[in-house]
Amino acid sequence: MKPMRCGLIGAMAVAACVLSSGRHSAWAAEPPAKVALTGARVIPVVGPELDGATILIERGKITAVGTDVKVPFDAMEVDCRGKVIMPGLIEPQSWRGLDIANESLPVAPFLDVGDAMDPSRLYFEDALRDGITSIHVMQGNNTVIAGMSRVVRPIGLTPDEMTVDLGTAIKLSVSPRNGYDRMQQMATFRETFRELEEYTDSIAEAKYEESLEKEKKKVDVGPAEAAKRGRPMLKDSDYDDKHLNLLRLKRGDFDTWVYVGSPMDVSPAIALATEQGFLDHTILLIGDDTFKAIGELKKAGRPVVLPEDLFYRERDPISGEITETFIPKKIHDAGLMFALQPNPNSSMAERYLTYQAALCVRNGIPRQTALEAITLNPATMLGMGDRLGSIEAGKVANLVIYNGDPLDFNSWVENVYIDGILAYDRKDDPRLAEILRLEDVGRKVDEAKKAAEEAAKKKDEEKAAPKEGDAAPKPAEGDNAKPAEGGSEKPAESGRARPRRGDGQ
Amino acid sequence: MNPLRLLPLLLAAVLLCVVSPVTRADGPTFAIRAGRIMPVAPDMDWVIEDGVILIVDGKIAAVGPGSSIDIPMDVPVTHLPDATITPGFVAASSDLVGSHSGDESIGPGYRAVDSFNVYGDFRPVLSGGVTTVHLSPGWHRLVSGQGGVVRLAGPAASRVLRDSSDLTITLGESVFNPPNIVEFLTKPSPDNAIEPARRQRPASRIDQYLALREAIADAVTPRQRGAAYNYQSEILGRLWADKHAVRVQAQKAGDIVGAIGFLASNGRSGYLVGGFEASKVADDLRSSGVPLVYTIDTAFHSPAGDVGSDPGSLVPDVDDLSALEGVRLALAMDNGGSVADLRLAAAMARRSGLSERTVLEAITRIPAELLGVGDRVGSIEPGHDADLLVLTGNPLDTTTHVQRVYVGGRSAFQMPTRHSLVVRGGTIWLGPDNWLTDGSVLIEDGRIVSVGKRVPVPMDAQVVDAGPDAFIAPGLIDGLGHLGLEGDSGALGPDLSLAPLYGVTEVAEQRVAAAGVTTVLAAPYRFHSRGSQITAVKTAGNTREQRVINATAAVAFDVRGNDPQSIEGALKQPLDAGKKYLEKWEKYEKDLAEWEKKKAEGKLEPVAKPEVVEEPEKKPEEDPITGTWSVRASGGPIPEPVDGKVALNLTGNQIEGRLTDPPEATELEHRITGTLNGKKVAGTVEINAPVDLPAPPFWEGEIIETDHIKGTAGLRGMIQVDIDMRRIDKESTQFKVTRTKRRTTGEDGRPLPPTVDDALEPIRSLLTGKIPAVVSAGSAAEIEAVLAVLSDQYKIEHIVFLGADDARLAIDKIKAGKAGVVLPTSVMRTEKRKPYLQGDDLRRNGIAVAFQSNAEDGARSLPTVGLYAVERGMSAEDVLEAMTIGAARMYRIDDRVGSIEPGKDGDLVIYSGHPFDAASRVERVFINGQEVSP
Repeated sequence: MKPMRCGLIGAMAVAACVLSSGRHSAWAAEPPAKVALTGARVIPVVGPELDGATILIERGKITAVGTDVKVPFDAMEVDCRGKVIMPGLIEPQSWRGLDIANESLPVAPFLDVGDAMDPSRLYFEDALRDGITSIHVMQGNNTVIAGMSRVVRPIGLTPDEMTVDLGTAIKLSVSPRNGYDRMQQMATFRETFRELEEYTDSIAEAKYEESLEKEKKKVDVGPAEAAKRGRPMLKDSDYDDKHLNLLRLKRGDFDTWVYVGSPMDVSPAIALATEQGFLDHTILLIGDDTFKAIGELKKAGRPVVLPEDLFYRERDPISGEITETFIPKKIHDAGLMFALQPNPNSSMAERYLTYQAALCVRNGIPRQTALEAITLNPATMLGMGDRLGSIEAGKVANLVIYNGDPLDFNSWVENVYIDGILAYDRKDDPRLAEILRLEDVGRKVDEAKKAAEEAAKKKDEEKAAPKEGDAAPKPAEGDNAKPAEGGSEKPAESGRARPRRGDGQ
Repeated sequence: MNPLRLLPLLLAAVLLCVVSPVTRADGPTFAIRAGRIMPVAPDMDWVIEDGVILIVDGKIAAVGPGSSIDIPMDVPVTHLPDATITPGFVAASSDLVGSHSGDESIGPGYRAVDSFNVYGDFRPVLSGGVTTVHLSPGWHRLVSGQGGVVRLAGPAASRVLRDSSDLTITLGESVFNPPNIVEFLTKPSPDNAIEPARRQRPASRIDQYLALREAIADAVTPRQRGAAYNYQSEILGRLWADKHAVRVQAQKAGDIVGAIGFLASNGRSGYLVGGFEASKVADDLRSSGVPLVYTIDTAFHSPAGDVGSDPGSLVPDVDDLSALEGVRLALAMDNGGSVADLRLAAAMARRSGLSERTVLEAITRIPAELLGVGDRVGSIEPGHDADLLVLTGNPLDTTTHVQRVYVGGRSAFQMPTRHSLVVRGGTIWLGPDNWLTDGSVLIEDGRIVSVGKRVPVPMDAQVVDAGPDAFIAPGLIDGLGHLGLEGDSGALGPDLSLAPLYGVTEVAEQRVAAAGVTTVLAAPYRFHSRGSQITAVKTAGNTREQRVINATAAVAFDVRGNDPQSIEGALKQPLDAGKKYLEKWEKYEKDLAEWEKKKAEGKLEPVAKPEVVEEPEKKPEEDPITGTWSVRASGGPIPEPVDGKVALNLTGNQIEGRLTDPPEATELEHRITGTLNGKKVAGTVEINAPVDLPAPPFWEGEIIETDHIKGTAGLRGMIQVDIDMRRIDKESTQFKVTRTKRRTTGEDGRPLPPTVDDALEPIRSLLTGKIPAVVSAGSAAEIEAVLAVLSDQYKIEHIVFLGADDARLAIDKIKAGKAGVVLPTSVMRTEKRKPYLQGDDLRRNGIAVAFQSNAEDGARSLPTVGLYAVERGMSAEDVLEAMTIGAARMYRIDDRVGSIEPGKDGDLVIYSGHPFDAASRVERVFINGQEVSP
């Protein structure tokens, strides 16, 4: 059993795959039957951290975790000594896989993000490189009622190939969209849900009349009574797309993620959710100063997705003094479950989820809570807490292998397994090499050396035996190109030249 | 302690927790006692002087004169004697939330409260006194939406008072030609066609009534089967059917009349907002009985808009309001105006002749009633929310400021204090023959900054309005007292000042201050033969810096009872020493000036090495110090004790010596000096150290037994080690010492100042004319002898005679010597059994006088002495001058105290009448701008 290998998803990688070998079908292929990751420190997120533990993966699922797990004879063993393995990170929500964040329609619950997803976005490649194995692709906050979201993995060539969960949630924004103020935003909500009732009444009335017609009876009651009698007869198929999803939203068929960008939005959001009956299916996305409504957030007791910038700074209008608040602390102290988001706009380390978690630890949040906020909590919020977010037997084998502690800023992602498939290998990351200019420089030096050596050889052996193939690497280096042993190799050393994949093919 | 004995305490604590009002969650419970309360309630006094407001759970429980309200024992009381309390202002119109962004011309579904930030920090608005605000959904649509009423502070959930206070309709140009409505179709089909944008009305003035009527008619008619659902129409129908209050926003005369007609024809009660041209249709308004919220167009932040010559343009003018007599009127800010400016804008409305009462009601009670919140805000009445303003004066005065704002009994805004104080009063005595009527004084950071009819009133100033009858004068100066000596009658030498005695005000001192005596020239009971220092000190303050005006304000000598022949000799001794000392300084200053001149010209010559002279040490006699001592230093930063030897010689009580061991110590040029005081020794180690030390190292100790000293040494505030010294040899060490002669120039040739001699410093100040000589003298012969020495020989310009009982006999001499007299404590004297008033006598002869208490806290009776002098025939003006600027000039402290002038200290006394009117009393005393508690 050899694990199928593929480097990066993304335009370049896709093009390379399509042109070279048709490996893109990897994602449709079966995962390797049994893989054992051995000797690593495992952070399962649930339960204590384990040293020198083995994780056994069978057909994409974790079947055993522990220090006393025996490696089956038929499992491919990957030596992970000196490494740290934690569950794949989960980005609780992002629109960056979409071509645009929002449509111009304020109320568009009939949309599906799958139609706007672009698998070739570099964002997915970056996410994979940073150890994110699940992304909740959702429309942006510039909306009133947005379309259906999906949970995807950052690998695959089509939206459907990437999709893990369809119709996960719908986004509502209580903070006004562009061009709207709060009066219009709230009036639009009230109008939408009021109109849903009117629409339901009208189709119920029609349905009732239809039912009478079938029995060749005449309409015997007024419109209000007819609507009342018709309502129980309604099926989902009687609704049009727009109204159906609103109905399902109210019914709690899926979760509603409500953006409350300011503290003043919390109370109307909770009132709306209570009134329309979806409070129990509500996740709150908070803005930078929404924590000021901590009393109301606490009372609502709903999970919270934190803003990208975890610090809030404010100047006192009278004294001119600046105060700084660390938002996760406020939320944690209120006893609320929360998830962290990476900050894509930051050129600094805030764009890594692990850094955001480390920032929490530094500011007084327990390490366990901080780890949960990037794994298990978003999984739970997505209704996938039984499948994702921790390393436990029975869960999907989404794993990230670090070369050190994930919350240590000197650590990096070595490998990422998604559904038991090795989806990312740092050593096989040409773009990272390009960005860091490490491989690049190394390769140039190496090539120059090789050229010099070959020139010398040529001189020496001009008349001698046939020369070695110029693309053939040395056996030791050649190992890297062999898919079979991809999981067991040592971390790449910077500056060390390796042949690029496909060079030998 | 027996735990049983603790039980009652515990019980009491538990009970306290149960009954304590502070623990109630609803709101705070406290009482405010204020100088003036203006309740703006219909059946209450307009002004309650010295009133009390009792607040229970954030609501007003009782209000009335202080005498009529019992404040429960456990309720904390906030005393605000200078404050005026009014209800929080109610702004019946605001654009705090802006206009809604919807396109519908008929948009009753838009609610202004949706845009209100319940978590907002509205302190900038609260600082203007506005606590309750109407939120308008906008002025841009015919049916603009639903207004709301909110308060600007308090817990988020409590801020919205009414989420829908009215259906807002706007008439006029601003609503004409609203945008077309485009309907988005998600799935266009042959049955569901895309239609062109729907046009909206009104297009013109006449059309607005038509459009309104049709919209209402449409809304109240049940929907036809198959007709499209219209949310806005449904809301309009519901609000109209519920007879929701109608608010019509209109500015032009025609629209106002139209609005009155609209309300009347529909049988709706409502009110108008805007009314720029209301005065043109005042009769219609009056007869209709429709109330008006007049919005004031101000130009506080930017000039008024240009309207040009178009006669149709609106030119709002607050002066026009006079025509609106009889119309129920509220005042608010025009759109674009800052709500925080409501107080000042409303105050401007008085130009049109509106009374203070009408104007204040127009920003409190009337708008509260119009907005339907009259039962909660707008007046100070039992049952209302404790939304209160603490103002520095009359609410409509320009220079009045909001100091504090309570919303629901909680402090919502507090002006940051900067220690500025404004004192106003009917009469202010600035100085002799310089009276200011109805003026005020501004004091900032303890100093008088401005004096006049109208001084600046900073936003954060404490304002004390003493009233028209008040008489404000500088604090009185006691020409000589013994404040703080507590009976210690020792004669202090010329090197000692009384300044270290003074710090935080003590009870006795506070008594003097409360009597209006703010400065005392403090002197020891007896003067030293070489002179004693007199210290000018404030009677109240918190630090020595605040208290002491001049640690050495004068040098005092006593020649009483001396043979006039011996006076010259007695005075000459210290003065000659001082003169020599002064000459050294003068030489130094001259040398320094020359050196600097040379330096500036670049003509400095190279410096010769300082000469070294050998000075043999005198052999001392056997004594407790002289000899060789073994020294052990330990503790502090020293890891292990260090041993050494030191040779000390005692001369008189002066110790001098050297370290003789360890050897390396002897290599360092040094000298140990000190004094022996009984059993105690203390001194310093002078080192010619290669490094700059912050101060010479000290050493001090006590002879605990013969030949054994224990003590400490080190650098003050840095290092301290314990020293243990034992005398091992009583022989004076005849070490050969070389001593560098005191350098007279620095390394670069700059002349060095002479050594400061504390005992001669006061004499130097005296000889240079900085401070006066105070001489206690009685007889004419003494006075003359003193003048002969001080004035004639030493040319001392400032001489003050203390007592000078027989001054009358030496008037000419005193006059010639330009001397002043601090009068004896008894103002009346007799000459040939005939009583006369010495002070008046001297004043008439042009001699400056001052009064003295010659007591410690007995100085509190100084005003009474003045009162008696006035009664005996001295002019009140002369007495006041003598007790203020006269005394200040005598002691040359008139740059700080003695009159009310910019730059001087803020020492003021407020009297109920003239200070030397027997009926007037001291009302309040301020020292350095801080009030002295009575």
